[in-house]
Amino acid sequence: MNEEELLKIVAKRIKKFTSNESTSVTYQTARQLMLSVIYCIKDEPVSLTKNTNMNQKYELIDLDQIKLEEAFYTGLKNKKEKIQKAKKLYGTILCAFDAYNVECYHETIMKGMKCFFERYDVEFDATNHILTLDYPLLFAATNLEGIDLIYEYLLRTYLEQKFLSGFDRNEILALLRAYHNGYKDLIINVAGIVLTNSLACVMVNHIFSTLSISNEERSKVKIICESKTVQEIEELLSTSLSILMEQNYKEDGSLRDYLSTKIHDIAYEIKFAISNNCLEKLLFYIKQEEAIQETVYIDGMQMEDEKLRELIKLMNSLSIKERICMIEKKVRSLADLKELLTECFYEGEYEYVFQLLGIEEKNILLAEIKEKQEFEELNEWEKKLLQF
Amino acid sequence: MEEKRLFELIMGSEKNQLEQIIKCNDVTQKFGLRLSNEEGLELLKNKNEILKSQERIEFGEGILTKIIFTFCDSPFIYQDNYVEMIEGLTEIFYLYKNESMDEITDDELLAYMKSCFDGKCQGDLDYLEGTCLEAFCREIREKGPEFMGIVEDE
Repeated sequence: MNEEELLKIVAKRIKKFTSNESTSVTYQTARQLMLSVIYCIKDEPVSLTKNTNMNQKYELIDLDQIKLEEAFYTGLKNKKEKIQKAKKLYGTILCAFDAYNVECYHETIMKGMKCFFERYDVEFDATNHILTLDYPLLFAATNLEGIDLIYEYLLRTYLEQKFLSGFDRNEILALLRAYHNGYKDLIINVAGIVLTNSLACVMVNHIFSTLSISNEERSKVKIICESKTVQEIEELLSTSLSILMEQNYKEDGSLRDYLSTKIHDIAYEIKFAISNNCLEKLLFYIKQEEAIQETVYIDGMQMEDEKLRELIKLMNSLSIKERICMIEKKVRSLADLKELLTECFYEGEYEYVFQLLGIEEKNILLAEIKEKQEFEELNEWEKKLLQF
Repeated sequence: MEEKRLFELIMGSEKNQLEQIIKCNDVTQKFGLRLSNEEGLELLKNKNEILKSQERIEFGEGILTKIIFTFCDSPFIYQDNYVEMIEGLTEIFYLYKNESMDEITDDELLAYMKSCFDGKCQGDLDYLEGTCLEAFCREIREKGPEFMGIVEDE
């Protein structure tokens, strides 16, 4: 690469960065600007090269023949167009996005991506993609940075969402619960878990609208795969994937290619689970109540902190009957109810509140309490609810 | 190529910068101040060392001419301490450019330095560096650039 020409561009960019109001910048800023320039220039070779031989490596040195500055501005323009494309793709994803209650998935896509589009600076800090992208993809995008990485991440998220939309939401939630009770807080890839179970379902000729694998079916998988090598299992899984794609996704080529990247890992995991006799940790059976618990209850709107504090203050001055009336009138969310039970009710009064709860609400509270009692001491009302 | 060397290349040629510094004599001689070629080179050498130690790169005309033009009418600078003062002011300038996290422009920092130097510092570089600018940059880091403009004059 022509270094002198590159430096001229960087010097121009520094001037623009400081709006000509500073005659100097720190090494860090200069490094950031130089990386941004190189990042944009590197975008060019693919479109600029006249060589159509696909096996030929694109090298930055080719750019000696053309003006670097021209390459930079074309690259910058391309990156800006890519940002627009990524925004459109993000909009499409958001229309039907479902995090399946996985907190990390929700945070990365709903909050993180929004911040990225607000703060990403392609002009002066193009390689900084700001986000840590905590939610792991089925197949991680590596060796990329800046908008290239984010676009690829969004593209893969879109494919994963498309794959997941082929299954019943409640089935997926039940499968995740079977995977781990506290799955909501785990950093796990939802599509990976669903893909493994769905392929096993197809392998044992199971209807894959349900993702559950019973003990008998698991034994079947074991019998089928036990004597096979990883490569042979891979072939079996590929056939299952073809059936799955044909029936659920009308032979979507890009989705198929993307899911295929995981086949080798799944084959290895199955082989490993069989040899260690722990296939039940990989292929899950969905208990009926797990499915029900996820489907029935939708919590209401939580109160704002200030309003809740006012309500607690008011309720502490009321009689038990009035307090029960207030709960019926004002409280719409279990989180608020738990707060009020802790702050405004005493022994002998809890039962009146418990009588207001529906079966689903009681089940959810009981499940939370059982989980909590393993790690910390329970409140009075929680102990009473366990006995109620 | 080594990154530092690349940055040095951005900074442009010393010859140009020296010419600019010597040209300043046209203005500064009204105040009894004049730089020889050797003194100009010394100033440039000193500035480059400061830039390296403060991990900054400079481009274009550079800061020396701006410092000379800003301070040449100060009653505390005369021919005998001219070079020494410009060297000291250059060092303080870059130190506080970093300390202010580049939140202020060159002109803003120089204006504040000049006002303090001629005012409460009475030409004392140590007081300018250790007291006035320290407090000023702390305020900038705390309150951001909106703090600009509040210059206490005694």
